[in-house]
Amino acid sequence: MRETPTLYSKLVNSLDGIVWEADGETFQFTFVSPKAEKILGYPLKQWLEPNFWRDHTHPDDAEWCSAFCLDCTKQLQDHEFEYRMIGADGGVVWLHDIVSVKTETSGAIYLRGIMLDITKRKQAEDELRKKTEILEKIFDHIPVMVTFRGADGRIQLVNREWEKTFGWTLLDLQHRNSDILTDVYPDPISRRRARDLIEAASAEWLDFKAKARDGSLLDTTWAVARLSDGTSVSIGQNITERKRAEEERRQLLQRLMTVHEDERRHLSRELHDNIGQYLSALLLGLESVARVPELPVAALTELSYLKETTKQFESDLHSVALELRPTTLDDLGLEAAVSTLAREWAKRHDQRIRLEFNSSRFKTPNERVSYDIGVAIYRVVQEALTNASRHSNAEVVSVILEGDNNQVRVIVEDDGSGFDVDTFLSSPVENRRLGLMGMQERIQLVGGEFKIESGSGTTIVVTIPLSES
Amino acid sequence: MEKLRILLAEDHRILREGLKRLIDEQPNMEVVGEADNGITAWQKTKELEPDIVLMDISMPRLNGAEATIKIKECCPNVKIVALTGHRASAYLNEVLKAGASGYVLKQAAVDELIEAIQIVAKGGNYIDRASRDFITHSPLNKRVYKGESQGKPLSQREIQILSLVANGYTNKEIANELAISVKTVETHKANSMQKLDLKSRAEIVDYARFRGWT
Repeated sequence: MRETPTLYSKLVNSLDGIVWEADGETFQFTFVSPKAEKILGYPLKQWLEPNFWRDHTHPDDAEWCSAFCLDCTKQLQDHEFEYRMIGADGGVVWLHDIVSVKTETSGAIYLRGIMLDITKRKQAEDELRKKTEILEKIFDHIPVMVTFRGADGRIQLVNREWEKTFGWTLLDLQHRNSDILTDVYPDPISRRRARDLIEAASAEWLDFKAKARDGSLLDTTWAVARLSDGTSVSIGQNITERKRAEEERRQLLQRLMTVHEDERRHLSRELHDNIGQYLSALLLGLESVARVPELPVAALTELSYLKETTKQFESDLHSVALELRPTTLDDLGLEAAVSTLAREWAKRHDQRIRLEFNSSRFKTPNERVSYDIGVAIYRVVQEALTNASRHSNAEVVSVILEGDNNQVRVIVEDDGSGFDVDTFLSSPVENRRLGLMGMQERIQLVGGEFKIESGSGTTIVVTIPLSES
Repeated sequence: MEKLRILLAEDHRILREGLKRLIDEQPNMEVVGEADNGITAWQKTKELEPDIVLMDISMPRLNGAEATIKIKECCPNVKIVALTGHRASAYLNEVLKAGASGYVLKQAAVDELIEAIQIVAKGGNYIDRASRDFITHSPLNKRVYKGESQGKPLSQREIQILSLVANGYTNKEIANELAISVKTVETHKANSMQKLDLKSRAEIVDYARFRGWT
């Protein structure tokens, strides 16, 4: 400063830090470069006041900073340290201070230093620490399994939830030679799927049956994401309980449905085979009476009225029984039942219907689809036809039954006015077309898929896989 | 003239008694035996060799159709008139296949039943009026294709879309498959149906099978 003032001050001012000089005993500044004002906001004059440094250092740092500096100065030792000061606006400014301890020829000690503003770096470090902490917290505490695999596919890290679920510790894994997948998925097909999932890293959930260390079987679901360096993160959940609850619900519904159908079948049989027979006998009796010689005309008129009433009664009974449960379904199979249903429906609504069957599965007794599937299909066709007559103003309705060894497919399509499926499915429950949901439920119960599309006309497609058992 | 000997197989007692009285009233008919299930009907037929068995279709132990098959095996000369409460023509097919010569609804008039028995006794076949209606006026009659369509030929795209329809695809699925809009699919479908004079999906399936697309 004293040698070449202009050059020196130029240099000092261009530095992105505060160049300063201070008394070695009081730490009072004797010089600060103009950057000081910019970095902390205080006018330069204020810096030169006694105790400025101590008073404006962050309360948490002031004490150790003074002690540290005092100590170093006493030993004539250059030093550097990081601490916080409070700016004029009250904000925290992080500084990295590099200090030289100088002795004047007079023996007096003075300090010369440079303060660099490291607030941005500190903030970034802080952010990183927070992010790391969040990740660590997630990794350690959320009830989700997390594993890290290297680019070579080997497990590098598993979290506590994984350890808890499967029973091995990370240490166990590190001391093993073989891949843990061999133990977790003893079934080679599952293992292959697991490897494919890790390889593909498509971030979609896939369900796996897995085996824990104690041999218990678990239902798990996994998704994998790949990082830029080729390593991958797998996230998994133990869904054993959920699966069990779903299965219980499914079985309960299935049982409910079976009881319901049995009851309807019983009622239908009772109407048809018992009450219907009484009506037939009654008709015969009325005819016999009518043949008694020399009946008065009034009696004959009354008798023919009774006969007509009985016939009407019988016809209504027949319709009710059919609606409840067609005897054809149990006696002759699905094709006969659906044909009969379609005929009756076409006659009642004076509407055209076309049927296509391409499989003996619906006809030949020993190849027939199972009881539950048959009933489910029949009910869907029934409901679909009811909807078609009620809502669509269709001209022609198609019913198509197809099947091979692996699946059966049922399509009911009308060419009527259609409706907005999405609006319907999201509309309140009181809608009468609730039948749709009933259909969906029934089909899911027998493991099938239900699709509906409506635009110009409505198409319902049901596909049910057949398990060979 | 010798009376027609009739075996009455009907599990419902009251109806059986009514039928017996009715048949016995006829000057040229008599009930020679009764059965209340399929097995007994079969055994009594072997034992009594009646001219006609009046057979209820739904009976316990052995149903009417099964009993008919057994009777036709052991006594081919015995004629069978099926008696049923079922209007479904599916039963009709089943029973006729089994070897019955007549099919009468329980709701039919007495005269019709008597007429049926007489026709069958003379070696004819009888199907009751209501069921005959089902057969001749069925809205389900199959259509016969003459081969190539008479109108304009289908475009490749139309053939592609029709065969996807026939294979159970929905319009949306076809649109996705071919990367075109649902509207376009609907238009192609409507045009090709018009060219071929097809009125429904069922006819498309039938036609596709005829052309060997499925």
